Amino acid sequence: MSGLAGDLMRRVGFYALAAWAALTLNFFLPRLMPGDPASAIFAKFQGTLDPSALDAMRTAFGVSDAPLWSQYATYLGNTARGELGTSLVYFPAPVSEVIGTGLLWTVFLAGLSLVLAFLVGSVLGALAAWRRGGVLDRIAPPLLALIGAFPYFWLAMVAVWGLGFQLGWFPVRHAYDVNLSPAWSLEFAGSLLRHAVLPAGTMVVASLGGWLLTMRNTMVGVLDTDAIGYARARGLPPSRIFWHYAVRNAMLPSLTSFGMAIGFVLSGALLTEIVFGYPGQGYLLLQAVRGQDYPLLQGLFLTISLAVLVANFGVDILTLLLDPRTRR
Amino acid sequence: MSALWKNPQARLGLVVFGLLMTMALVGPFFVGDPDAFVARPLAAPSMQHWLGTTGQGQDVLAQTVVGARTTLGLGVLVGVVVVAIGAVVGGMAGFFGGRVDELLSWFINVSLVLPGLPLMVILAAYLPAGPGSMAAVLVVTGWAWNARVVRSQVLSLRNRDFVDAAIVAGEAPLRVLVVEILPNMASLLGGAVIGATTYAIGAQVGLEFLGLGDLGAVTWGTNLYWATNDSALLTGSWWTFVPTGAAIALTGFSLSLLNFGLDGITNPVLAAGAGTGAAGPQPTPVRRSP
Amino acid sequence: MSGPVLDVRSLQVSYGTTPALKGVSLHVAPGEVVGLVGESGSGKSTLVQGALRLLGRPAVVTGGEVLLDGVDVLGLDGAGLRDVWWERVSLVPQNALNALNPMLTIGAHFDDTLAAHGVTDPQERRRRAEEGMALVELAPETLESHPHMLSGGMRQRVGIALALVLDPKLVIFDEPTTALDVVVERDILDRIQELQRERGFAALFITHDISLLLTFADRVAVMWKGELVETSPAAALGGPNSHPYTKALLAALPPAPGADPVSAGSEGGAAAEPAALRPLLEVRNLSVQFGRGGLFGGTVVRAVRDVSFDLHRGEVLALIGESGSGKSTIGRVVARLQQAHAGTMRLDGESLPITRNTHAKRGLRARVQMVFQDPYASLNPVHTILHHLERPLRIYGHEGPDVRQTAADLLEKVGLSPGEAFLDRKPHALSGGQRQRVAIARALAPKPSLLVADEPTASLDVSVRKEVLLLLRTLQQEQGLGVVLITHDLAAASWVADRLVVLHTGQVMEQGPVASVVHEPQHPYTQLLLAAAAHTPGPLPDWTAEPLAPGVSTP
Repeated sequence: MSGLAGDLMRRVGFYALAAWAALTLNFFLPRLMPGDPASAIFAKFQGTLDPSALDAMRTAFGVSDAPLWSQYATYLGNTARGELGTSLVYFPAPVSEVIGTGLLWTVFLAGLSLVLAFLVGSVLGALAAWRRGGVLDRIAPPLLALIGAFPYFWLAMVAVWGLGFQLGWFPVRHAYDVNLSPAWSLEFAGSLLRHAVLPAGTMVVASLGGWLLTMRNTMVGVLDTDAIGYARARGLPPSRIFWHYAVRNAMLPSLTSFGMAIGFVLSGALLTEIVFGYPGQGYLLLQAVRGQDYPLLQGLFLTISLAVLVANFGVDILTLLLDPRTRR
Repeated sequence: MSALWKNPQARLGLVVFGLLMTMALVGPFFVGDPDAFVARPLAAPSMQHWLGTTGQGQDVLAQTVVGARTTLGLGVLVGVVVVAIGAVVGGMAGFFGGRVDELLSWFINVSLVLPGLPLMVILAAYLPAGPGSMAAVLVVTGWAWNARVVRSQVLSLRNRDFVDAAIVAGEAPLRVLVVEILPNMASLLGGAVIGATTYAIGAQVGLEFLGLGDLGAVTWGTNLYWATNDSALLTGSWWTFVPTGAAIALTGFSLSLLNFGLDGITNPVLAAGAGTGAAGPQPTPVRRSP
Repeated sequence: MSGPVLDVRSLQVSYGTTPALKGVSLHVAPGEVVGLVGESGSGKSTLVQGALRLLGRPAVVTGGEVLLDGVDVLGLDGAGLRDVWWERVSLVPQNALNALNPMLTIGAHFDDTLAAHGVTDPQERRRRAEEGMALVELAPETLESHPHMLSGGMRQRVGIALALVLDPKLVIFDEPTTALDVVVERDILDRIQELQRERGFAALFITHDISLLLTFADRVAVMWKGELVETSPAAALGGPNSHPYTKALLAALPPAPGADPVSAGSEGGAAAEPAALRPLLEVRNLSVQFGRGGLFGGTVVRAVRDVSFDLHRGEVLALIGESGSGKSTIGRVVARLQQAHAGTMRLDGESLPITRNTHAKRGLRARVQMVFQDPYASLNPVHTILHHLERPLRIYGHEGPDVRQTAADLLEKVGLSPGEAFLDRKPHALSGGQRQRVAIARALAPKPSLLVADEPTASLDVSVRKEVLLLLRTLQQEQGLGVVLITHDLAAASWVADRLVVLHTGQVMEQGPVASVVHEPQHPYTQLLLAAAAHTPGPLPDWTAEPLAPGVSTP
């Protein structure tokens, strides 16, 4: 058991340090940028914003005479209490509140498409490797690589234009019908799903190829191992060999690369949200960029980073639990 | 290189990418000023303007061709720089091991696990707009993946006896890394440059689409930014964003073909086309010759 | 008398268009033990796996017939084969760690196998799995373990139990003990022999080690380059009618310990000169640890414990031990590729630091050179042979334009002639034996006074091993080198070395001149090693007289 416990502790330690790195980066970035952007922005907004908003910015950027370490301590304390400053675009709403409105939407949309794409892609990849040189193996990888070569958001644009405006099959804006208010009703759930089809669909289609190839290549390696030959010689039926001897062993490396790719796929998901006006973190990011809302921008960076760390931690733990070799 | 040319996938990739690069280098001399107002805004493709006009009445063909120059140039440049940094950092981590590796690996893994886009957005928002800032942002957020790949490869190569043999023969450590180890991973580094270039183009286009970067310059990313800004989707003017998107996809696709081909050469087991399409491993076939 | 369990008639197998098996016939009678011997690449695995149709792409059976217990194997489809596999013939894999599924328990492997062959009752499957465990003297709880939790010996036992679980008439053993230590190997072989006698299954035993078969098999089949060159009763092997290749295989075996070593006398070297009273290499109280105790309870392996020995000028000292005995670690410390954590070393009276030294340095670094086990790994595939020789020459002070000539001369010295012809080739264009000669030439380039040779013949084909050992011995005598020979092969060591150091779990068990260690072993462990090595029955041809049979020697 000490093997597993030790591995767990190491993971916890790594992610704690990574979270600290994200926090610290977030603190130092505005202070390290060339040309002192904080004062420049500060000067720019002087006169256009009311004094309380300027105060909020002062705190966010540490435009103060306090020594750096005490600013850092204040920053860590504030962050721990969830105080990320005040948004400029949505003034006077606090940043944490603004981010809170979008967090669930992103988790829902990005989480859904990520998991869906991973599962479907992995199964297809496993099948492609199992039937080496078959129809799926010859057609799917190049086709999906071609689709994957388009930027996510560009596919989203084509989907909005073609399936949304031209054909009118699916709604193209927002997460649900704006005439409805969120409720635990069948009608609302239906609206939710219809609005999710296009954004989730584009993300799944765009990222499917990566998972398919990862799984296919691992599977090809696994199918070549002694363990498969030995299982075959013992007369096991092909279905048993496929699931329990091949897929099960190929899944672990695939899961590890899934963890590594969460951050990358999320980046694409954020841009997709923008195209669909989906009210998640990506949409807020766009608003923050357009309105030069630096406190919101930094709050988003922090939240998204921490969310990705949590997701990665989850995947790591899952990998540990699924692999009997980590147990003693 | 000749092996690459013999592989049909890689050959197609090389040809397409070569054409795109030629277009980026030579094309701008033929298409005229992309910023000039040449016709009614959002005009559909016609004989005068093969790909129509933008919301600002500019020629879409000119914008697509001129945009290739900055986007591809920066993409290839960043691709090479990112792999060079990755090779140095990952190579040192893998080769020296011990504390050096622990420290560098931690650094690499943290950089990897933090999501790229939000960091890029923050950096790009603070830095003055321009190609230099863009390159810096892409390098800062992109080196870690390559460092990780190089590190694991060096880690497996450094335990080869030929490395120990070189040490016993008196070679200095850096020379062992550069002369004995790195040449053994030429195809891996080549593949990494291709992958990193794809990444750099995609990320660059994404940032510009968000409105970060120099919006006055003509690039593939700003083309798409202005297309959405000028309500191309609402008005159904597909020609304002389809050509640029197709060009980006063609670039990405040619690069992944090149990488597939490279994979097929270095790792023939994985090559597509092997296999009969039968389900699972099959019994050894019997083909008695008459 | 019933027909053979396995009857292979002029079987032909090709890989793509390259023929790998050129019409091989072999039969195994019920209850018979047949040995199948050959070097790597001789086609022995292709024969077995091709006959059972287990070879994957691009292998094709292009001709012949295979009857397994009367069933025509080449006429079966996938489903038919699944019924034949394991019920009539089973396999014991070479390395069960790779063959077993790491995600499943040992019990699940039994369960899957029995379920696939119609045992529907789970309790019945469990009962038979436990029976299997008892057969190989493993506790029933082992069924709950995953493969990685077991030792190498236990895993091979699991492989044997799995092979017997359906009581097949034929069991094929595919080098079942090559991955094991000598002592464990002995245990497993004994158990296989007992089981075979008790249960009377026929056995086809594949190995590259002909000496193993001489005591074990009823008949021995010898394969060479895709053909069966000889099949004869084990006792008659190597007789006057034997194929030259069989004779070569037998001749390449080192003699049983106790035969006269070539170098028992003190001729050659400088051992008799007074100046050599001071040892060339003094190692005192050397200890090496791996791993370190961490916060979360890391484990420390004491690979070498308090080892001391002397090596005199012009002497070959053999470090003998199984894998894990610490012998290679000691070699790496002497070559300064590995840091020791305690002890002292002196080279020719000068202190030799026990730290790892990755920096180029003249003097001491040049004076200790190393030859590695696997010449496929110790030469850099991207560089020419010239590069491999030129670098040490230049680093250690060779100047002038004639470096190419010097390199060619070095190659001639190690028997690669004309040397010039090899300089611009890359390693992959050379055979294993040639590569090892290049590696030896490289080690000689800095004109060392001490050579560490780490299992220099272990990864070479049997027929080349003797030549390489002879070369080392000759060079050593010509140049008055001291040689530390690291090997697990007691017979080879006692043939080539002057003195032996017997190591076990990082400690010296016994050391002394070859004659006294071999003839009067003092330590029980040495006696065990000798007993394990002594299964080579005599009389064997006197291999010290002549090299290999003409026409068979590998280039």
